[in-house]
Amino acid sequence: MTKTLISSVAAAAVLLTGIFIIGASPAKAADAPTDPQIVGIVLAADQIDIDYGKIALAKSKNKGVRDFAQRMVTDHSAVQNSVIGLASKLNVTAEDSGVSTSLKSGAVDITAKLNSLKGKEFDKFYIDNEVSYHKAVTDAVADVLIPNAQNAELKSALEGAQPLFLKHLEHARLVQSGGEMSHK
Amino acid sequence: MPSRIIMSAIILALAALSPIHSAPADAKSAGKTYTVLIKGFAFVPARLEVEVGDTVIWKNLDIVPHTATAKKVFDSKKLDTGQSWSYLPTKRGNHPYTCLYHPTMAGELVVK
Repeated sequence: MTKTLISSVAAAAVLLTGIFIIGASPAKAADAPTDPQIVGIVLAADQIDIDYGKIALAKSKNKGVRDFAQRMVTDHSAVQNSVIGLASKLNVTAEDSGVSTSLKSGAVDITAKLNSLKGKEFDKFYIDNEVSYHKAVTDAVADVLIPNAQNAELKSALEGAQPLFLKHLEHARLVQSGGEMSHK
Repeated sequence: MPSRIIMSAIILALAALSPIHSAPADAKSAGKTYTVLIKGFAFVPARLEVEVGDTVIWKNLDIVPHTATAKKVFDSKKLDTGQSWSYLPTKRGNHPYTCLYHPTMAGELVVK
């Protein structure tokens, strides 16, 4: 069971790290994401984390996990609204790409795993996955999405979102380390 | 007599505008006012020194809610985007504070 969990978390990290690899030569890479694809990637990544958070709120009894999950739902919903508003203002329609499609298909597996676990096993898998996920997203935003964004406002919005992803990563690590798990 | 009434009315009206009437309000907020911006998931400035009698205002510029909370000292409660909260420090000392929603955000209010 433990191996399965680890491999699922690793798979999630690899999926997002795939974005990272595209970023090896960002500006000129043939498969560098376009602005509509960047919007599509952000919306997909955001929605996935909102959905994971909702599952955690429905299943976890741990206060630290629940507080974190509620924050993910609240904050990523705000980001989602902000991105949708900006895309509309800039007349950019979100497009799917290999990355957003991979994210969505990877999320199907993680969601199935989340739905199959209970109690402490659920909490551990959820938080471990959140750490991997936010680490990968933070790296992808910094190394791929921001360098490839063509529109200045979109680039600026992505830069503005960086602290949010970083603080979420720190928060997830705090919960993972047990610092927040004890607040029962 | 009517002119006396008019004069009294003018005097009362002038008195209402007089700085003397605003003196008590000024006296209450004699201290300085400081603003801490909450932006980019950080308190800016992260450390602030004030004196008892000063006013500190926290203003949330982020797109998500935050709080400014020092356990047992002060708590802004939820601050939505664009909302402000003002606090008149009464307890001297170094008060580390955080956002209850984002526990790795850190600030410090030093009250002299």
